[in-house]
Amino acid sequence: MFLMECRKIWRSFLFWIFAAAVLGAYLTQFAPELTERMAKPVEGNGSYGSIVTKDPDVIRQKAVQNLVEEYLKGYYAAYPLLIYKEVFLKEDDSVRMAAILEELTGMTKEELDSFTDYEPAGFYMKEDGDGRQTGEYHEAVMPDYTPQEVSYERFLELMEQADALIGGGSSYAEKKLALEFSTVPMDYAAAVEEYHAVVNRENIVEAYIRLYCDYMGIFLAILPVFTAAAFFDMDRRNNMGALIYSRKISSVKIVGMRYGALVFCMALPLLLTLLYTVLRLKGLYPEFDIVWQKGICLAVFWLLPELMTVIALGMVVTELVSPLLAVLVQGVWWYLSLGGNELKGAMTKWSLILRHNTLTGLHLFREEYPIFLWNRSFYLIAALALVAVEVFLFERKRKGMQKCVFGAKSLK
Amino acid sequence: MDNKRTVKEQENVKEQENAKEQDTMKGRENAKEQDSMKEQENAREQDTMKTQNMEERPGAAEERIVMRHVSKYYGKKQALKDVSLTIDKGMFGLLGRNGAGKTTLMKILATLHGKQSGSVTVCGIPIEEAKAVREIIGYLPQDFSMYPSMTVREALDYLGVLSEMPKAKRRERIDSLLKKVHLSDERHKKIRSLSGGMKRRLGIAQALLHDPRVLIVDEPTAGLDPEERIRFRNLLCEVAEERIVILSTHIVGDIEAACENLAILNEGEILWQGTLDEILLNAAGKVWRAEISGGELARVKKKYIVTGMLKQGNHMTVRFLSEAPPDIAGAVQDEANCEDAYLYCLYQSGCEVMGGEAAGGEESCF
Repeated sequence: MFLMECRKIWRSFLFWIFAAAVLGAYLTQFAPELTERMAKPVEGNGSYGSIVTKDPDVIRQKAVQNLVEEYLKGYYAAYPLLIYKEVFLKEDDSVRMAAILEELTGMTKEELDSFTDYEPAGFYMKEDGDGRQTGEYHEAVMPDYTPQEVSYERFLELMEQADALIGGGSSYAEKKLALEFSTVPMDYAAAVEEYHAVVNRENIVEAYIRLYCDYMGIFLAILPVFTAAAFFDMDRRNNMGALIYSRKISSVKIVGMRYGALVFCMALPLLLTLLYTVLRLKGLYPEFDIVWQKGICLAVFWLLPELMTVIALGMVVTELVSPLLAVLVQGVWWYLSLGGNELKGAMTKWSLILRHNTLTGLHLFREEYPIFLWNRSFYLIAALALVAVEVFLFERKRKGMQKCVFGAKSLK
Repeated sequence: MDNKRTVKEQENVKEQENAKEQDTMKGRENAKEQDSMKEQENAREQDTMKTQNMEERPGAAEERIVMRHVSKYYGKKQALKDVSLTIDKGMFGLLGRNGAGKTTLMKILATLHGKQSGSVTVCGIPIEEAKAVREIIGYLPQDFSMYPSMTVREALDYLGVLSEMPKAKRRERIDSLLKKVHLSDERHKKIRSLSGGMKRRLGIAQALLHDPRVLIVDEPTAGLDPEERIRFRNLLCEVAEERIVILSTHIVGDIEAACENLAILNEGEILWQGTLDEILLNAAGKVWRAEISGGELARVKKKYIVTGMLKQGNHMTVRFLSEAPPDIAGAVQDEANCEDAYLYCLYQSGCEVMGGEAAGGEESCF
């Protein structure tokens, strides 16, 4: 039966659209990383990227500077529901904000309001003696202030108050502070250390696989739902329910086989791209007898729970309501998962999409590994639980006890 | 005087003798009554034993479907009301109007719907044991299709897998069934390219795939042309030789042509159950034929249930039902057919009979 279900899937044009989309995403987003070897940092060559330090002093210094700057600009950036918004405070709130800044910087409201020389950082055009326009980068022009001796706990309290005055969604909320304000430029020594940590026989494949999973995870959080919803709606669409439900086979077997077939078929394009990646890496780094097994296991454990969960949720919502709602629900979840995530160093226990948008950052991943394990285990179990729910719903439907919610017809 | 009894004595003796006689007669009557009651009790006991024995007899329960006091509700609407039926091997027809509850009853037997009360056993298996029941039933629903991109063979193979048939058996059964339903040449055609009649035949093939002991067929001939209908009925009759076949339909002709036994369902209730001959006998003497003018038709329709009309020039030959000889000149009794018998049965049960009119009122003969 497993092969028969696979054949049904391979006959669906939506599956081939999914496969094409996965390949397209791979070729456009990740494949360029395989055109040449990872570049070794060269001393004196400008920027070496940034590093997330989570250092309280760095966080405090940058957060306060940012808050002063926004006060002087007259508006605050916020991302309620992940959409950028400029927030202008009322007079009362502005006074309270000034009080927060006074406690942090020592500057009074009057001092802040009287500073008229503020200029934001950016490129400014300048005319030279020959009349030519050139661009020059300037740091922001800010007032001088002495950071006050405030405990970190008190600092966090004040940041929460600032976030509340802005209406939430700002960078001053506690869970965003570290991510927004603790990155610092990496120096050469740190950059070389990061490079050597990954460019070796043991870790090179994993490094690329992490980046691969970062990219593919974004697409896997949404693309499978279209095929899954259409596939689990096939019986109803083709008016075949009665012929199937009156058969001897158990609901566990039908649901299990169909679900398993869909997961297997949708994993195939991923497996192909993984295989290609490993082969390319063997070619790029011939000096290493690279260990590819760990990388493949990492990819499977990273992406498979996500794929399984998206398919399982699509299956249950389709069974319960309709395929359209399954796509909408997944769309919303995808959007929320994507928007809330930083590009690295921001793995959470509940996020469907896990990010690690760099080839380096091995130490960062190792720090986050417990959260990564918890997250993927949770989604693996959640997927299986959803399959159990589907078996329950399918069995009820078979006995005429389950109608779709909101009046959509199942078996008349 | 001493030797003769006095008048009083004689009267006393007579009284005593009368009383004795009455006592004896009473005694004899009581004894008779008791004997009669005993006889009735014995008869009842024997009947019960007979029924029990019939049901307990090895193989007896395995050859019938028994429904007892089955009720089914859809929300507040009662679709089946206290339905009791016994269906033995052979072709059984379930006749009724649209919305009578036939499909609901079929779906309960096919384990696709539950019931609110009552009991159902299919060949001795309670309907609650859905998996066991599904193993022995084949179901052809009224509305169905199959995956359009599959071929005929693939579709049957898939359904065979869902019936958990081994591969070799599936192959063998598919080949023989395709031959039986005259679809061998279409085995590689996609489902979407089959005609309505071919799909129906494929439907029967899938219902018979796992060689079920019970075949449940819900309105299978609706929408088929006459030739297809006949072919289909013949096919059903063939397969009914070895199994229970329940044919649900609102087309009386299908019942007449194919079924020995039938039941009539109306608004969720069984109005009648028995053989075809019995229902025809029930309507015997109630069917009349007369030639009338076009102008008389309205009166006839108002007064009688018209079961047939044939226009011939200026005149019309009508068939109608009447309890008593009708007041139409030249009306003669005619032999009841199944349609007449069905309509008469509806009328007898107090149902409003549409189509043939005679909606009631003073002038109506019903």
